Amino acid sequence: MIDFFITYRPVLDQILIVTGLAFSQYIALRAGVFSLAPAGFAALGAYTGAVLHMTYGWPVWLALICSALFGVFAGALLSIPLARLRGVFQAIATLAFVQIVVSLSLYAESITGGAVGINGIPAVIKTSHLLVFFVVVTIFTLIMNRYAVGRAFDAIRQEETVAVALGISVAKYQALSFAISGGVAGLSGGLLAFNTYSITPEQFGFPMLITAIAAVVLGGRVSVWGPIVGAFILTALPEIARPLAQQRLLVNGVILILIISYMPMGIVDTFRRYLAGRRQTSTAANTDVRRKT
Amino acid sequence: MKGLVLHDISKHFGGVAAVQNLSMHTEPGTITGLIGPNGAGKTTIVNLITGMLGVTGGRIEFDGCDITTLTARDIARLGVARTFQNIRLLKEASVIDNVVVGYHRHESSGTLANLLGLPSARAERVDFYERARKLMAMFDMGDYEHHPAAFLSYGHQRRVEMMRALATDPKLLLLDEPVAGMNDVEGEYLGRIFRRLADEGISVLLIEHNMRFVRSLCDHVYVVDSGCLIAEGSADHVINHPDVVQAYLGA
Repeated sequence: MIDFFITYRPVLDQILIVTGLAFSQYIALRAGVFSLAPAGFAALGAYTGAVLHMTYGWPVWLALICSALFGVFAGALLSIPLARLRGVFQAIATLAFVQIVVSLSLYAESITGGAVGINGIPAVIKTSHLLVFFVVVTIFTLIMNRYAVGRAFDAIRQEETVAVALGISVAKYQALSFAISGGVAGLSGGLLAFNTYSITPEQFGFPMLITAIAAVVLGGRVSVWGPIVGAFILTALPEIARPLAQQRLLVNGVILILIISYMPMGIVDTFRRYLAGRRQTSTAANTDVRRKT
Repeated sequence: MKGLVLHDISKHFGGVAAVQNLSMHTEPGTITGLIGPNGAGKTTIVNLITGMLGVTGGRIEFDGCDITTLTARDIARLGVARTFQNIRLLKEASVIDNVVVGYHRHESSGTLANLLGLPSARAERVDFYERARKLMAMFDMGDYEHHPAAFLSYGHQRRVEMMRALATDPKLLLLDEPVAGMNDVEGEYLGRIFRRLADEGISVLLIEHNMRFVRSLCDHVYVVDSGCLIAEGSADHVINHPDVVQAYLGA
């Protein structure tokens, strides 16, 4: 048992970090923002944390707080030019943002180390820290969904016209979702930097972007468990199916196609709707009986 | 002047005049009817009042302030609520959640309190759900609290839209064909609710096809055809007006 844990510890760390990215993606989608920006925010957070610690000697905890804050700041800033865009146009614009961040980290060699990246970062973030991060983000998201912010997000996502007709400020809440999404991804990036010794620009490119969105689509976009389940499956499955690990991307692709075809709402939401449907049928039957008698 | 006043408003879509020089007004405590054949511009008028569309010309006043150029959101926050002809519900949400979202205008706890689940946000949530339950009882929808809104019948979906609009506690309620697809019994039930709302001091603007329903309910009726006002007055007066008969029957 202990051996198993030690062997798979890096995988567990990775799952927890990917869950952070998935939550960042989930929060954007929850507010109806088709953002692909989490990978970009993660890059900003990772470089902010690493540079502040390695170049300026800031303590790790302070550097990590700055990772999150810089993510919040970048998200809020990005929401301004994107306020008028919707759907696939938001996707393209945020994709461009990720490309810009990755290119900047390549070209600003004096700060970021260019293609070599930043190496020798102390790996002070352990599994226990990541577990705390995971629990905190999950609880935060649960609370957010429960009160006014979650209600506004739900209205905007499902019927923007209705949200406006009820006096909800779409611009404000979408900016808020960008900022929170940026903060969560920024912190995930910072934790990644202090968990893995080194960061390079290519880590934050297209594969990470796809991982973040795939985790949410796979797991489910409504329930908080969606991104958790999605991140777990996407990260753990290729590792557990070792013989297939070489074809990791192929496996991911096939799983995604199958799940989107047969469970378009994602694993968790499909399952919950199935349960709700069963409950509904039984209460509806009871109501009918009551009415008739 | 209290209530809603439209001064000579027009709306052109390219070369098409959807609304031309239309003037009308609604008073608090009354039900005003707006009728006309399909394509007459009734829904366009609702969209102009709520700021979803901008007027080409004219002026709109609500409770004495000029709302012609305000955004849809600001007009909503002044107390103008509407239902939609093509029903728009939050389909993934339950009935009660659809109603509670209507209380947005009355949220007083801060954004941060809501993000962190502080006591003020909790208290507000409890209060909103309680009020929503009372509203649902009034519309005889108590049994459907946790029902997914998407699976309700057409008539029940319309009621959810009305409850959501009423949750905003409006001064002006715009009902776009509220009893379409309902039978007379259901229609009468809702009619009584509309009358009660008007008696409480709300201005109700009812857009409707069903002549019998309009006749039984409206204090004052405007008739539009091809974007122009062709008649106004009491329901009995306009229904027998020759231009109205011609517009409806093409006689």
